[in-house]
Amino acid sequence: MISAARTRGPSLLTGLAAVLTVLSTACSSNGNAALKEGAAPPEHRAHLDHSAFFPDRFESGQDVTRACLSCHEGAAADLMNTAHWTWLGAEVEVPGHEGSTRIGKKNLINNFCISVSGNWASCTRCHAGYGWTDSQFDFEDSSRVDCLVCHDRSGQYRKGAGGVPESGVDLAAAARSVGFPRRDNCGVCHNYGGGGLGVKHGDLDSSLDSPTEGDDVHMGRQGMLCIDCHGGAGHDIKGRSLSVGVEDAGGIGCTGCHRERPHADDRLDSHTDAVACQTCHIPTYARRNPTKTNWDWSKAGDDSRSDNVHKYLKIKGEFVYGQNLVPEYRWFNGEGDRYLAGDRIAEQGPTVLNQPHGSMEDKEARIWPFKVHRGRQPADRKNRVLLQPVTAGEGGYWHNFDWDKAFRLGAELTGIPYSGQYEFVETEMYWPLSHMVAPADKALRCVDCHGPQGRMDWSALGYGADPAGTGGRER
Amino acid sequence: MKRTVFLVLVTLSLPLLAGENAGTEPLKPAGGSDGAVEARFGMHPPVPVRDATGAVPSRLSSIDTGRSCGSCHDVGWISAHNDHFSGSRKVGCMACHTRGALPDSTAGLLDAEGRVPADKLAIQAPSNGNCGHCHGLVHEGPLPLELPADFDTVERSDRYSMSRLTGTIFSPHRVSESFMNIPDKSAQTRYWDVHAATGVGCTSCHYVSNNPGKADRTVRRELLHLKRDPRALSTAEYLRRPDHRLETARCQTCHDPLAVHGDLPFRERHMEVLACQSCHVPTVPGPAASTIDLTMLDSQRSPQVAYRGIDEGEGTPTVRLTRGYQPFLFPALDGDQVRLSPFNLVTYWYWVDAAGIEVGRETLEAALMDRSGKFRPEVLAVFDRNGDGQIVGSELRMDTPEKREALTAALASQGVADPTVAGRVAVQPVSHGVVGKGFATHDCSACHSPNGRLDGTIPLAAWVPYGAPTSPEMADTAEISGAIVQTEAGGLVLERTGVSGSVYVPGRSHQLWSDTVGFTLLGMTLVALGAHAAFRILSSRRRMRAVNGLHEGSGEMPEPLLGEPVLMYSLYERIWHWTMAASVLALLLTGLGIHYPKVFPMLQFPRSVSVHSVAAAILVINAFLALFYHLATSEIRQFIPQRTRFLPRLAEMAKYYARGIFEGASRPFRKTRDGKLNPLQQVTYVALLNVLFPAQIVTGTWLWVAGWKPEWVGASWAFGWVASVHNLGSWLFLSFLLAHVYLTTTGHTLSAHIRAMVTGYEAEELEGKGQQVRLSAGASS
Repeated sequence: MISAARTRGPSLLTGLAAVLTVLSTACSSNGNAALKEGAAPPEHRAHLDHSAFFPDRFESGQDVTRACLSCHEGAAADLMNTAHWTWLGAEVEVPGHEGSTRIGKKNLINNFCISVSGNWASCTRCHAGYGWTDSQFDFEDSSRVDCLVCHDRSGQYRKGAGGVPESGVDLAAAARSVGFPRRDNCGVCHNYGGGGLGVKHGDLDSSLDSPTEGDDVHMGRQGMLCIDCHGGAGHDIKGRSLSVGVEDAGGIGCTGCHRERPHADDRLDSHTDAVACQTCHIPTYARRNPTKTNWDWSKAGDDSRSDNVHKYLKIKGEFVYGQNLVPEYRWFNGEGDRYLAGDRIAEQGPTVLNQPHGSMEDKEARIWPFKVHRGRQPADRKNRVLLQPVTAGEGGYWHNFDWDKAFRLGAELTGIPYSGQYEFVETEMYWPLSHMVAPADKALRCVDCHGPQGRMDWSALGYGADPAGTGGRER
Repeated sequence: MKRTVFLVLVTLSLPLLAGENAGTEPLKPAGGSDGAVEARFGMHPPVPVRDATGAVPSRLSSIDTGRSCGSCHDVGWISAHNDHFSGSRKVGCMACHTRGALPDSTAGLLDAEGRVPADKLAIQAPSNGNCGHCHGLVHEGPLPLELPADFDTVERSDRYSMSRLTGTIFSPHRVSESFMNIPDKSAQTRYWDVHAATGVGCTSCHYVSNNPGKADRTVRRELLHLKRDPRALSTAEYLRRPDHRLETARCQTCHDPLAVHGDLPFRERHMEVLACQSCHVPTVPGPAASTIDLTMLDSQRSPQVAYRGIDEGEGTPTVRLTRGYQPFLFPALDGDQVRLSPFNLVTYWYWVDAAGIEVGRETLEAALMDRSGKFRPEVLAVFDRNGDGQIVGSELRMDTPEKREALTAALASQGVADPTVAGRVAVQPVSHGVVGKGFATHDCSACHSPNGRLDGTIPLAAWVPYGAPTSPEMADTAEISGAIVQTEAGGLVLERTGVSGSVYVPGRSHQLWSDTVGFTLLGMTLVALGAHAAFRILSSRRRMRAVNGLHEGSGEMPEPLLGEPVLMYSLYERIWHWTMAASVLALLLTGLGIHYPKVFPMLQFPRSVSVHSVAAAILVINAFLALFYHLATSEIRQFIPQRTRFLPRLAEMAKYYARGIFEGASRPFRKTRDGKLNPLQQVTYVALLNVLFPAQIVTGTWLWVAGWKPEWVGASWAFGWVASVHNLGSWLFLSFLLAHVYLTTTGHTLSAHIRAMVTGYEAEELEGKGQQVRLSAGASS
């Protein structure tokens, strides 16, 4: 009885302590309220050290691939089903076109370097394969898969013409270093798309290799890697830019980790019906490095002008670069139109190569931020189609500055007839922005969009007047 | 005849606004149309512009707004009902209702009928920029905020007055984004003003008073049966005669503070005694004037200004490190009642004439300078110490009798009779620079602490000009109690003597009498108990020696005759007792945390407040359940003193504790199952349960209700008294607790009573003494 009594006294104190603890935990909040339940910044597991596996030197990239495949048997087959290899998406119905087709970098026209056809060796530096230098590339040869471009961690792996390793690359060192892809693996191509740093995307450039949280809060503050969002089983990298596809990217979005209504403020949360997260949380793009906003091919070939990579190159024409840019805002439901080779160009105004779909009436659409890349590029004056010149390829424009010849060579390869008369027409490309997400305290504030100083063109979006005064759309 | 001529010229060109427009351009996306502008200017019809003669003017600056605006609006009526057009203030229509930076020539603006389209005149509802042109620093657009280069030049009509006098800047930007020189700037992610950031502009709160869109003004407060008056002005009538005596909205016009603040203990009480700005303007990051010295002007005709929140050093505030300041909290009328509100104190030094009337800036300028703005030689001779022909920096300070004489003479030459220096302290309310909940004051100790924001000294004047009074007159905008004292450095400080208006702030305010009485009582209890314990030990040893002598070293003391252990305390009684013990202990501990947050910071003031309320609720419920139990089981009789011979019995028990216990006498009363309490206990518990408990419960409940329904428990003054009584009660409780615990050791063994309260079992005491009884295991120690 006494021993029982002895324990009862302290247990009262313990109980009191427990009450206090419960009270105190009830009073304090927990974690990041904007995240979904269970969501947390990813942890990165260590990769198996491969340094002891490859004692000998490799003669070629393909030798490395064969060595990889000797253990990772299905890896190449997996990759060969993905756009990193095929440069084509799945079969889709492109709006305004009959039947279904496969589209991708391989066969599309943009307003940067225009098209791959005839320029393979130069473009395929960024192909996840070896030796794609002409239309005869063997897409079934698994030894041509380039494992290293994504998995090299030695930092000295470089791809040259046709995607083969440049001379001087220590392939054995690269093979021994392999690991999970980090930001610089993806960035080596995606940060330099269009032939230079920050040319294409505007929200992807080398500032994301070692970002501050001001460059991108996910990568800078949380240390997140591209594959944390884009990674998928079987080498199937998720996500797709509107520039190379028309269907909803699917699979990735802010709400994968964040709650649908993540703000502790109803007024902010009510925006999520009509405004993409990116709109407020990417207040400006190309914050550290400039991005190309305008490319005028018609000025190319002028000997009297001196070359300047940000302003003028004789082989490419005239550029405009901008830094820390305010995006343009459009309704966007994730899908889009796509100009396909042979389509007629617009009779009036610029030809939009990838018009994002969506309007104020479209319930699936939200207001998105875009980089709009504007260009003047060659078109067939008579046939009213965009032309695909051979530029880097043999006999191309970059070698002898003869547009007519470049178009003829291109027409031979694409089979789209060239009338012999050409002109330069205005085109636009839409690049929805999803990277360079700023920390919450750098996101847009009310008056950035609403009120007399606002950045939104409410009339163009279909509101007529500022919805802060007149109310938002019905949903 | 009504006044129809308006002054429009001064404000037709607004360089500040023009600069902002230019700043917007680079960030506009290419190809965007200016829909917002159309929407803003689209509604107003073309204006038939006329000059004073009724002809179409060739210059916008010669527009007569009475004839032009007056063709639709009742300009005469508006000017008669207009804060901005009364007395010496004559602000014309176009100063506030156009966007400025207009071309002066009307050529190209006029249509065939001599009218100018509204968009060409940029007619608009007054923008923040319009207000900011005269009232303070208003910042808009994407370019980072910086102090304007002319901030340190104080014009006659100080166009930065709001910012200068309070430090607040109306900007939608975050402090971290500014170009200002602010320490740890990147961490300061608050907005300069959350209203600016959320698109709430100047006219949202300072609006035309008969605006039918502001329905809250349409019903007078006395008409309680009406929420809204449907006979409100029609829009047409309103547009003809807008009443420009501007209304100023209070926070509560738009906000319902009681709908939020759910995590704030004593929410209603806080709302009753605090203006919203007290917590929602926790700091002001901008430079605020502490001293404006108008005894002497510099070559820019500007007085010398000292700022608070700026590091010492030469140069204008635009280049010095700006730390900001915490506005000073004083009770002041806030809407319907007196509440603690934030203020800045600005000391003005200025000349007055023999009649005590302030000498105007024009007269002072004329006394100091000639028409070209050069200092008069007699002034220069005295002030220019280094002889460089200029008066700059500390030379400007009127700090010697010679300087004073020179200025007195200069003023006298301008006809000022017997000029003397006077001083006054402006008590400047801080209402802008508001932050949202994330940045508002969350630290309770900001006020609930003896050296928080309600205490300490406030720097007033940075210097006192020679011959100026060292106790300038304090404006009565707020209730400020304290003494103005001159420091060794020559400046003035206000040494606050508590918060006037009897705002009792727990954790900060202490009523001296209750603390003194309580602490004395506690001290006396401790001394008495200590002495008693010491005597017991000493006497016990002495008796031990005596017994050893008697019984040849058996070492056994005679013990009371004890019966078999019985269930002295039922399970419920024990649960009740220990619950009471735990809740009282928790209340005493958290009470200390609330009353002395500085001494017991580990108790965490806000947590103490919450736990205190919970423990009090447990105690009250427990007490009532126990009352029911004791009534239902008739155990209450144990507490009721016997009617016969109570006082002698009480005296007997007291005598035992005072003497008998030291002599080894047996207790005069036996503790049995049916008689657990001796008379002394009975009288103690009667007092405890009928006086102290109710007193604490009533005062505690009062304080708790005051936090919840302040209007139920009456005026604020009561709070201090009730809190003090409650405080005194807790001292008594603590004293009782100590004595209670000490007296548990007076059983037949030291721990017998406590053990009984734990196990429930204790041997009953039997009649007789001196007989030695072997006890069961339950009683051996």
